[in-house]
Amino acid sequence: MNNKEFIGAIALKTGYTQDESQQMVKDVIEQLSKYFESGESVAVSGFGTFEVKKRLERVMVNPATGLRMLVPPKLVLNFKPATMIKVQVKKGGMENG
Amino acid sequence: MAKSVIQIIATAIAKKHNISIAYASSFVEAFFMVIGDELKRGNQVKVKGLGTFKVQTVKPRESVNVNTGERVLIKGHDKISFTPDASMKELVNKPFSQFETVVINDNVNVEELETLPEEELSDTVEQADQDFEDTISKSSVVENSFTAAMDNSIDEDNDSPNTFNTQSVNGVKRTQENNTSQKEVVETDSSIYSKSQETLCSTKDKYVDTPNVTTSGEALSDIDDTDDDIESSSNSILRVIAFLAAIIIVFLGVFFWMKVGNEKNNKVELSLQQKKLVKKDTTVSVAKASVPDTLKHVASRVKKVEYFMHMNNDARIRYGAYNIVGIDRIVVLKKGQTMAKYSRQTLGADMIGYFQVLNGRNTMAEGDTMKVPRVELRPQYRKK
Repeated sequence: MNNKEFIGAIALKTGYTQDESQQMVKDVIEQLSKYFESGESVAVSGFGTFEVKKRLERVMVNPATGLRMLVPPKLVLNFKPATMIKVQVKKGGMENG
Repeated sequence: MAKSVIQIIATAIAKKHNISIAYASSFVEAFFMVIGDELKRGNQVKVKGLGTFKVQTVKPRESVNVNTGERVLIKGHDKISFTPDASMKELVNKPFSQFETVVINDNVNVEELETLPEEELSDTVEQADQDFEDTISKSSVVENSFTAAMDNSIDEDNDSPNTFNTQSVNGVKRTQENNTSQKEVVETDSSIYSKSQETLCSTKDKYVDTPNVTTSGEALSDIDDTDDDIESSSNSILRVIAFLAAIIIVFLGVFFWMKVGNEKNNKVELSLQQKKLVKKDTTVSVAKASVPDTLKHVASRVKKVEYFMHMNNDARIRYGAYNIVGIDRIVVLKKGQTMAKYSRQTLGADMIGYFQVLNGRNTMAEGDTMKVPRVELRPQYRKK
């Protein structure tokens, strides 16, 4: 499901127009971003938790050049699905095969 | 009112679009529900500006049951994965945006670097980054220092935990300092980071960045020193604070040690008194009469006797056939011994309760110091 379809599905579900939904989705993401920027995690009950985690620096070998590189530490956004969703996907997966 | 994150987001949306909070809240719910529903159907969902949610299959794998040690098969199943899109990644990584990956030059000792754990930290970043951001904004030479750091060999001197930012901040100051003063500076800086380190790092991370800190220190003789003055004043204050804290901790340690010493004395005297007691009666009068003593010792003994009486009211042994009247001995459990086994061997089956109450613990294993209770049969159970 790409972004357009996603907005379409939301519009259908909520009754707003596609344009309105698109704008509102943008705003929701903006609001979420505020939390992420400050490093705070966001828990959505029934869906999951978004966390900001730190990845330490690491030594890696550049496959192209073969040189050893040092990757600096970084912050990444992590998502942990809630149990409710996890089990439903689990079942679905086995059904779909 | 605005309790959960969702509610807060909903109120912001409501304000922005002039709709009621109820409508906004149902919109936000729908947002996540649509994603969830689509994932349940097994399709991935791409949300522009946020990222992609995918359903990925996990192959079945062998593993071990941690309790029993037997092999276990984890079945194949699906997991939900999320990859943030480029703009979101950048936004989240803002505090670290100046860094870039660099080539390691040949004379750097990579073994120390390679002991860094590959996996992520267990905690989130919430409180930590204030410190990071402050120090990053202070230093103008972060990128340079990072590159320059790789040009030098590592000093073994340093063993305090640190991260990139430390070196970038300190590097500016540490131009001509010798090794000992370097260590001081780094230790103070690690106190800046101790807060962030605690929130961020698990014990695995004690390997982090030891070499990097001093490498940058030595490297930066040619980097401009404009930030020098600003850094040194705040650092010296921190040094003073760290020093005072250390002194206080030492005092507390001594204080507690003396206190423990006193308590030990009381208990030893008491067990001696207990041995002298002939009767099972644990009343105050018996305790007083048995040994001529100073008032102080009597008082402490009295207190201890009542203490054992009080223990007998514990739910675990209130309905037992015995009373605890004191400590028979103190033992250190050997290998393979547990409180349960010991109690069974000494007092008998089902006597563990008395041990538990006396020691204030439910189980004990090898190496633990255990008090063995002295018990007496309660009057009502004595042979008629």
